[in-house]
Amino acid sequence: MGESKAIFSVLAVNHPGVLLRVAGLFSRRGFNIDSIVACSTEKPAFSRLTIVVTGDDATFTQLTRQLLKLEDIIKVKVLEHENCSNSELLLVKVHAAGNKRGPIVKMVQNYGARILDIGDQTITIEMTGQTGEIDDFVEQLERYGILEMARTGINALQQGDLTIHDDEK
Amino acid sequence: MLNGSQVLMECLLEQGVDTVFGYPGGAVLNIYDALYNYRDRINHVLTAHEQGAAHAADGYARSTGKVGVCIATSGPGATNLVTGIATAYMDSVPIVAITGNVAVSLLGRDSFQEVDITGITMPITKHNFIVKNVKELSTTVHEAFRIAKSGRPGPVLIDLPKDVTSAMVEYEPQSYTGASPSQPPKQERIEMSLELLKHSQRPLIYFGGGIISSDAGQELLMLAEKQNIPVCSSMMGLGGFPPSHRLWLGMIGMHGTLAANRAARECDLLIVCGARFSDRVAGNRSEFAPGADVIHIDVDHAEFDKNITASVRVAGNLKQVLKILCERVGNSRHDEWVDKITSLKRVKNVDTRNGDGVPDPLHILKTIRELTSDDVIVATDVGQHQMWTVQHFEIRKARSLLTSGGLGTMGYGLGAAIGAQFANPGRQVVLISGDGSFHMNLNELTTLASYDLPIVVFVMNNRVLGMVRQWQKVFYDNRFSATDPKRRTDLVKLAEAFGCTGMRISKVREVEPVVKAAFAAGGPVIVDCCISPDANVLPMIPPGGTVDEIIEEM
Repeated sequence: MGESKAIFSVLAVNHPGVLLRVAGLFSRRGFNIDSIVACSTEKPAFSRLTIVVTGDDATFTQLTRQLLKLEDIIKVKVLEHENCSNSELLLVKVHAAGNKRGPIVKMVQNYGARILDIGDQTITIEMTGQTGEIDDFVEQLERYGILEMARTGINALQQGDLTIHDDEK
Repeated sequence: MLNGSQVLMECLLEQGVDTVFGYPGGAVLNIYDALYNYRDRINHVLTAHEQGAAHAADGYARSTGKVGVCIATSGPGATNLVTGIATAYMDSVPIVAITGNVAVSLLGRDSFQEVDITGITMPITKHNFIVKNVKELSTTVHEAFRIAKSGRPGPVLIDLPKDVTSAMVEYEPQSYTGASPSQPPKQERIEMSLELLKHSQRPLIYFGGGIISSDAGQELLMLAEKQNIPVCSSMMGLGGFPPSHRLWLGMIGMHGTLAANRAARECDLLIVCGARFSDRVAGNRSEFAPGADVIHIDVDHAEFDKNITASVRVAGNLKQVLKILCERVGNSRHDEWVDKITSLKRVKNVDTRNGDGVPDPLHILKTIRELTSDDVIVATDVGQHQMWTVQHFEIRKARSLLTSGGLGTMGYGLGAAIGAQFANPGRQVVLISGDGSFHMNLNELTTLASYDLPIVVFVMNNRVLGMVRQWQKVFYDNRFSATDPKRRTDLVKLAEAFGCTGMRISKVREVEPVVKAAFAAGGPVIVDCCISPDANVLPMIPPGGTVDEIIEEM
């Protein structure tokens, strides 16, 4: 069975410790988290976790069932990369002294990124986009010297009119 | 207005709790003060150690099906519960553990006897709570009981900071909340199961603890008889099917019977009821029931395809599912298959001719069995004595075997026996232990004496750590590392020192008279059973192996 990535969209009760419960489940069952985003939602009672996992189909099924056993988990939806709207946020600080500055600004424009801060020797850039685009951008920046970076990991919603609230648990 | 501790008592009463096991301490002083007022309605049993209280709550729950309750103070009191909670979690036993904690204002400051017990018990509870506002206390307690007994049962922990147990709140009595009902099984899954049953030539039923916790023994028996299907179980299922029945093959797995393991190898349909294919059952998962379609019936969806992939998954309450199947199936015969498989059943005879010889543990067990009624409750610890007991005692009723299956907790038995005796005051409770396990938690002998419990403890004393030593014999070339502790404990004197009666069996001719005397004594009795260090547990399938590698003699 081939390994692939899946995006788990998880609706949870907004209790302290939910993230710990979910992360603990992954760790003790031996599932690998590529990224995890946890945040409050439009309804204060709920929080939403978006988790990217690498595994095979059997892993994804087992993971869904294990997540649903947690008392604080309300719904779990496995999203396909192709039919969801997904995006990730990058913040990156690059070395940009002297004549490097022009090409970097140009690249920022080409990628639809944004400059957040300019220092004496550096530029801090923000970019949102799909993971692949961000990977590309980071690769391009590497030649100028990345000083530090932070990525949020993938956030995702179902495409079309359906929401996580519409599906059965 | 009531304070938090009184609210807790009211909630326990609303849940039908009449017995709790525990140990007092600083952070639970308010709770114990309330217990003093409620002592005519809630019987608090003081154990020697919090671990004993957790195992007692477990034994209480396993022997009755009700939720067991234990109480411990913060810090070390709470951590001492951990092994007991993990034991209950692995065997799906409903308990509610209540721990005290430091006041909310002191949380997170490494205060005296502070520990993050909800963090510690997260992976070994179905769910846990810390209540920081007394207004949430009553709903939390009821929710804890609901979770503990709903679906696949399990332990729930409630952590109560000290100020919450003294804070005043308006309390309104609540009506009893039962377990959440399980979803009815999907019709299409029933049809698929019936179709497989109809075409099977060599079906086999393998059941586990789910049959016990859903009280589905009658339905299981009916299905087996109507379809003439041979039956085996995991250790957790023992007591769920009559051991004298012609279709009974015995326990399956590492120390299971040849008949059960051979049947799994050769069957063409495996009907799995409330069992989880642990590695002690399916040592080699890819070779387990290789030619069979699998119908997996379980209340816990996450068990499907976890260890073995099923052909048909039926989610639902076992009693309900089996009842539906029984109503729908016709009568069927698989006589040739049943004859072939049941012909592999073996009866092990014990040589008792030499009266001066060293007693055989099986001889002692058979004697205990003959001298007790079908009503006896048998607790065990973990190791060789446990396997001998489950292989040869022939547990005759559901909820009569208390043994740590999933976690394999040495030192479980004495606490569990105490809990079962309080839950079943009229029944004989027996603990079969080994000298290794017994040394772990023998402090609870003091509880036996304090409450004058008529529990009889048989310690299979081979003076070595027998199960590990047996593995060293088979797999480590007789290199007996740390399994010969050279202990000099005199168990008879030890029993007397604790205020119990001590007896000893060291010769074959003493077996029957001493066992008789132990049951006649009335109070707590410890019987030191001196057996050979070289008595082995057989048959044995090596870990990761199949029935083809079964060791029957060594």
